[in-house]
Amino acid sequence: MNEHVQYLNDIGEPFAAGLLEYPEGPLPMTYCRAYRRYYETCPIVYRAGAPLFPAGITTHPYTAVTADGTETKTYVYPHYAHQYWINWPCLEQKDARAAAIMREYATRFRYAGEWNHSMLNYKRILAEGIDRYEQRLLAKQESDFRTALLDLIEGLRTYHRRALEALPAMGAPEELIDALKHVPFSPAKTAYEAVVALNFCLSLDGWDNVGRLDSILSPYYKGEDMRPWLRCMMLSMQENDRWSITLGPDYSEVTRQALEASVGLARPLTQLRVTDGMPEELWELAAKRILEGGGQPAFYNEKAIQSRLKGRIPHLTEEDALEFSGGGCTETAFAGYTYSGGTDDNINVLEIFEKYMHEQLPHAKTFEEFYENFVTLLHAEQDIQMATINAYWNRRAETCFAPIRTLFVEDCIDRGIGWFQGGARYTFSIHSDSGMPNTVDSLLAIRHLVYEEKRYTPEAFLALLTAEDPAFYAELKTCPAYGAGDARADALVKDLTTRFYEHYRTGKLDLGLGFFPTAHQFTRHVREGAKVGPTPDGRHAGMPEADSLAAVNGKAVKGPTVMLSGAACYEQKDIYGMAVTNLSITRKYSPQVIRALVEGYFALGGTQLQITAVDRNTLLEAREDPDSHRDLIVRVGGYSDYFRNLTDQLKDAVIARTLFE
Amino acid sequence: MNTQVPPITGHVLNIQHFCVDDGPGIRTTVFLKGCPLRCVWCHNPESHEAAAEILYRAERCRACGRCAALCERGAHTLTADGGHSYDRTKCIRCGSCVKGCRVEALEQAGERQTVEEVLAEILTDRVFYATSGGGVTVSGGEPTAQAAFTEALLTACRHEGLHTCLESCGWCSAEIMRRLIPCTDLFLLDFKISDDIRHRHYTGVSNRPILENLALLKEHHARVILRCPLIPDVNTDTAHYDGIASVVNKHENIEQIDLEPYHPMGIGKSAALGKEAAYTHTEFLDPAVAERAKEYLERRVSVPVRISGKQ
Repeated sequence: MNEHVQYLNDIGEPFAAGLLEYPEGPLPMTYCRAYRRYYETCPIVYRAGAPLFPAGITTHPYTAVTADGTETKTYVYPHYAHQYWINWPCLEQKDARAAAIMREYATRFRYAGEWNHSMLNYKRILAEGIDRYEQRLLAKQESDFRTALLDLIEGLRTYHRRALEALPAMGAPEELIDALKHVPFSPAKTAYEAVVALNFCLSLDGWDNVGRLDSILSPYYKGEDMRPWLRCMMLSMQENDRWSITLGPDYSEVTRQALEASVGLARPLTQLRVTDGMPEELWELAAKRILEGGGQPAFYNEKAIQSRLKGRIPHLTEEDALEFSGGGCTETAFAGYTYSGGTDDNINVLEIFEKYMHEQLPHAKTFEEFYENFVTLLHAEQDIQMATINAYWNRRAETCFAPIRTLFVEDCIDRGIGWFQGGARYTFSIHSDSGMPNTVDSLLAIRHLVYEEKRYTPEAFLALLTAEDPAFYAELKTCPAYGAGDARADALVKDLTTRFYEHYRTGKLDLGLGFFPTAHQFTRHVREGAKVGPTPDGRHAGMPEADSLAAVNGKAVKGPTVMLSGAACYEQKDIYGMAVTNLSITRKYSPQVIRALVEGYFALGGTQLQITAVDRNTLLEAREDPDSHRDLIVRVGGYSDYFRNLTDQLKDAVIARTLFE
Repeated sequence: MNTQVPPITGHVLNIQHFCVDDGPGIRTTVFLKGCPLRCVWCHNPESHEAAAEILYRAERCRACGRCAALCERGAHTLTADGGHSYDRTKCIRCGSCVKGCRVEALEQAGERQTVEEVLAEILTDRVFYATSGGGVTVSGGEPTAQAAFTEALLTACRHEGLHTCLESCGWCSAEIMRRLIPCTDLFLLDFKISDDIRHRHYTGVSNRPILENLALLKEHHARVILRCPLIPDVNTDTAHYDGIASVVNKHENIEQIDLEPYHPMGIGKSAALGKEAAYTHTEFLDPAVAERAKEYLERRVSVPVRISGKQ
């Protein structure tokens, strides 16, 4: 054991110590050993009486025991997306030497790129058990890859044993201890064992995403009330700030129980795949949940999504296509078979437009010239974006290894290739854009005021805009806008978005199938908007951009049906990542109206819709007095959270969002 | 010689999408200009006159002077202190000023539109009518006051396979009502005040023709929802509720009662039209009054009683 490893262990940083056991690789050994050391020492997190283990916050910082028996906080630890995380300020404060050691290796272990999400192949884990994974590995030829994953399984086995030893004294029911004696190392035999195994393995992946919860559990279901178990798992997902479950299109009693179990929770995000045959009972339950507030579930247009994905991925089988799930906030994945990046990168269309407008508007003779040159510039920016992503994907493959995901996502073991290295059956980059609706409305205002009505010279237009002149802004708000029933405006949306998203087909991703754009904002529209000055859509400097692909906030003056018809003109056929559409309603419409809006939008070709029911007064009250509205959940741009948790600026953005009286 | 018949046009006040209180499902409601009644509580005073009217909202005006430059009659002028003055006595409602206004301080209520134009806008929501069992509702003002246009529009909607509702005060000739029956799937007929003297006092007309038209609709087995506004100090008394019950019990074609609680949203519009509001209640009707009316009626009729805006 080298000196650094000893030192890091002594001060209670076992994961960091593990990373340095094989600091020069091979890569799988470096990471798998670190994970093993983590599982050998990590705390056993459990709430007395809970039906599942773990239950509670397993993500970090956590407490470790040092060599002399004292407890200490640990600041280098596994991370679900990055594979490890170093809390530098805390580590620095805790132990300067440890920080210096880790900094020395920082280049070696630097995580390249942004977030990513996954869904393990829970169906296979439940059906075969982890022991079978070990056998699969042993059947393969000796290699660093095989050795590393076997090392990881050893760590998991130790963790499992430690839990079994600790749980009786922690108030665990016998039923749970009995189940854990079988799962997840042996196949699950009952519905309860299936949920225990699912919960255990989900926690190994940082509680990231379940995938198709109803489809995973249905084979084990024999009339049990699974809701308390599901609730326990969902609560842990929420406590750990993790993501989603997907339901349908094989609707069953488990679908219903899952919808009921998640009532009142901000997480997991619930994604409901909608077919023509979705039972009336589920529609009613889903609409009822929407009307209770919280924006759950989000609706997914099964038919449209399937046909588009099959068109984009020629070798996508029927069976795998059925595993479609929205991971993270909404990012497309085939559960158990995918590495799809996450928010690999964002292109701020409005920021590009703003710069272009100031430089080129005075020189463009016609609107057509102004518009065409902008599209050309946009394509050049997209080329840079794709090249950047490709470069850091390659860099990440050289510096990072995902132990849990490599073990449990197909076909990494069969191919002997890591998850980050392109071993998954389907590998593609999901990335996003922001500010597109604002850009479209800005183009419309320029066409109207400068080129058609000729009310202003380009110079005067830009001067008034830059000064944020109040009278000029009042005028901007009366210009044609997308999503307000103006056919010419909606035609411009169609043209720009078609050309923008189609261009992503031209990119080459060395490690995968290519670039899959997603129009989802998460909370990015606030951050990205802060970078952009005043824009002709009537947006003031620094204000948020549009929170989904639908009409800019406050512009959908003809109500939701017209707004959705406009959103259907936003070309979604090439948005494989997911085309998120937000709709806020401020009145308790009947479940039939909710259903009609979803079905109508999907009939027009929309792929995804999330409806948040809130009344404006409630939001205003909550803005003033957050603590008296602790239960208020809102959904923004593919993301949902408690209203009180939002920044003040995001709270204002939610309030200003199109609200239909 | 040009033998082409000019297209039928109507004075349209507004076309409103996503209406869920004007008949079944999701509907588009076409509000027409002109009404023979002058209900004191009316929240759409801009719908009273058949011709276009100009709304002026002083709080939005920036006194830029564009309207003054465009107005040939001198109705709009800039004042010495830099403000804006609008003299309605000189205004011929040509709408030139509205075209010049860039901040929506001036707005024209009412526009002549052809049946085709209105239909095109209605049809943009066709998919939502199909998914909700909705359709189109023609309202006002008073749509029977533009009978030819209303008939043509409803007939055109029917040809497109849309469900049609007519929302009317019922104050029109029997002949007009007869013409509208075949193109209307469901009538939303107002019944405001049972006592005729009070009806005349508060609406300006007798309720006798309304009752006669109700009888006519019954004779033709036309489906009717009776819409009853609840106006504080005007008709929230049990005598009127008894009157409603009596009408409903005499007409088996009335299948539902919609109670419509008063709201004060129209008060600001009167000011924008340069008119004085005749009824100045600024409070919404106490919800308990509507609930009591509902309960009272439910004990006396066998059809459902609904409070509008609640689902």
